[in-house]
Amino acid sequence: MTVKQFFKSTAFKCIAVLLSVLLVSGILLAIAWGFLEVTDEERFNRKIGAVYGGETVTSVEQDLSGKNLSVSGATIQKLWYIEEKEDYLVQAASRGYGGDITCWIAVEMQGTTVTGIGKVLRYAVADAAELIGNIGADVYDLFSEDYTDGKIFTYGDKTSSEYIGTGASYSLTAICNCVNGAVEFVKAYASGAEITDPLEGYEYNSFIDEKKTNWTVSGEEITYTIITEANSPATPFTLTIKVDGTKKITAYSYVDGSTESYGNQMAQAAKDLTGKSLADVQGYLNNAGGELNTGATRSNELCYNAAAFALANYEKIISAAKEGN
Amino acid sequence: MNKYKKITLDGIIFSNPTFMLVLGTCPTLAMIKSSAMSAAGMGLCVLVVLTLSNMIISALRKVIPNQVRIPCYIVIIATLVTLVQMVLEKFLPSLYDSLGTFLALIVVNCIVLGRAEAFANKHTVVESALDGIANGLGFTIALTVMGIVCEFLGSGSLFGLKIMSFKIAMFSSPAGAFIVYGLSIALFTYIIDVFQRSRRVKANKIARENLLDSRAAANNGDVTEVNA
Repeated sequence: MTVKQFFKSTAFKCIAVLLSVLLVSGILLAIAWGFLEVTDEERFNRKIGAVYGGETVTSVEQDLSGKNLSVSGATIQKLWYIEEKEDYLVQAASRGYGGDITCWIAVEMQGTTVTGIGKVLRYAVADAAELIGNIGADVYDLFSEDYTDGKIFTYGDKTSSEYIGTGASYSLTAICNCVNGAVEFVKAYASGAEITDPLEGYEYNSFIDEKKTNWTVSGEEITYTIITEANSPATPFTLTIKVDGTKKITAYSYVDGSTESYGNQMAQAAKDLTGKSLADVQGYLNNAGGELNTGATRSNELCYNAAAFALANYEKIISAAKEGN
Repeated sequence: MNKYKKITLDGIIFSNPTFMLVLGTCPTLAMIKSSAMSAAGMGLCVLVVLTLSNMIISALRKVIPNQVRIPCYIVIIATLVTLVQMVLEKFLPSLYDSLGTFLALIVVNCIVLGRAEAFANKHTVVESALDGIANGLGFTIALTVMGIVCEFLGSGSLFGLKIMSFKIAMFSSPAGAFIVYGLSIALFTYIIDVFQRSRRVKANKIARENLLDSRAAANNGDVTEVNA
């Protein structure tokens, strides 16, 4: 085929038309983008506007470095001081069924005292289950309506008297955790209290309630009383674990926090970890022999994590005890 | 029947893309279970994309070679969808958020590509525009009606306004959306069937009367001839 034949051929016409369509489309979109681009700042201001009923507010992001950001089963990600309202807006995340749910919570203040909860907004969802859409606006409004000082919201907890059936109890528990965590964090932050994590630097501390967990050291033996966080639908477990110089568990008992009949489906290994070492427990956590996903994964996870916490931090606690701390 | 009237009635009723052709099922099920407002919003977005894509494709039908028509159609549709996305994000952010991924998925909506292939590349720009509007309206009406039913039963509200506290959570789930969609198709098909049957009966009756009249006229003519 000569060059002249090629330029007269259907193939050339096809290429030319396709490229022309692409070019025109590209130019059109580029021009449109110039007029219609939504900047990150605009997006952020819109979201804040949605929290404060469309009002334009000035938000000042607070420095959270060095603070314990893990509170009441939620992780505090960002905190803004809203100048016009003189209150705080918190971005907190908690684990739903298959991923994190991030919320924005407006915490109303009077000086340094928390007086109420404003709007609670779902900011982002990384939960593959997507059942969170079942939770209607009326449920989000309840946080503001039901708030009293010291209240812990438990709308997603099936064992609670204030449980709300939405078909998305994991997601609702995560949202409750975010709200509870936000209020607790702002209370401490606004009053200037020190917000540090007593378990910072400890291994396997993600499911451990740092305020309620304690241990005693006697010679080479540590007796732990571990209270875990909730891992919805499992409520907190209370475990008593003894670890001696062999770095194995010598005594193990737990108070079941499972809801419904999940306790029956827990792995035998999770029910009795006596004689197990850290390597054994790590194997269980990795589901090496199917000891994690037995139908009560969340309950198993809490037990294995508590045991791993007890075993992995043995040296640290013993040396601290020897140094007199 | 006037051809414009036929195009309009076909798009909205007799070849309704949702109820009669069962096209665009994915966004239909996703949107009707969320809210009537989202369903109506999705319908209107499809209407805009469908009308504009039909017009552009129809205008370019003699320029685009047959071999590359589908890639060209997809590029045109994708460009329009992206434009609609940009406009919504800029001016209607709440609707943009509620439509989520399904807004971008209009690109692969069977109705849009189907009308381009079946209608726009064979008809004039005006006819194609009318076809786009009619099919878009048919889709929007179907989605909105089913969205209203699902929202009313699933959340006890209409377009976000609380009507009653009683609700059946299933209707806010895919299962409820399937049930409402299935029942709507059955009801719509039944109504169209009844309508067409009555129209046929009416037409037959008129035809029979005409036949009898013409026979009577013929008989009268015979009698007149005999008398004469």
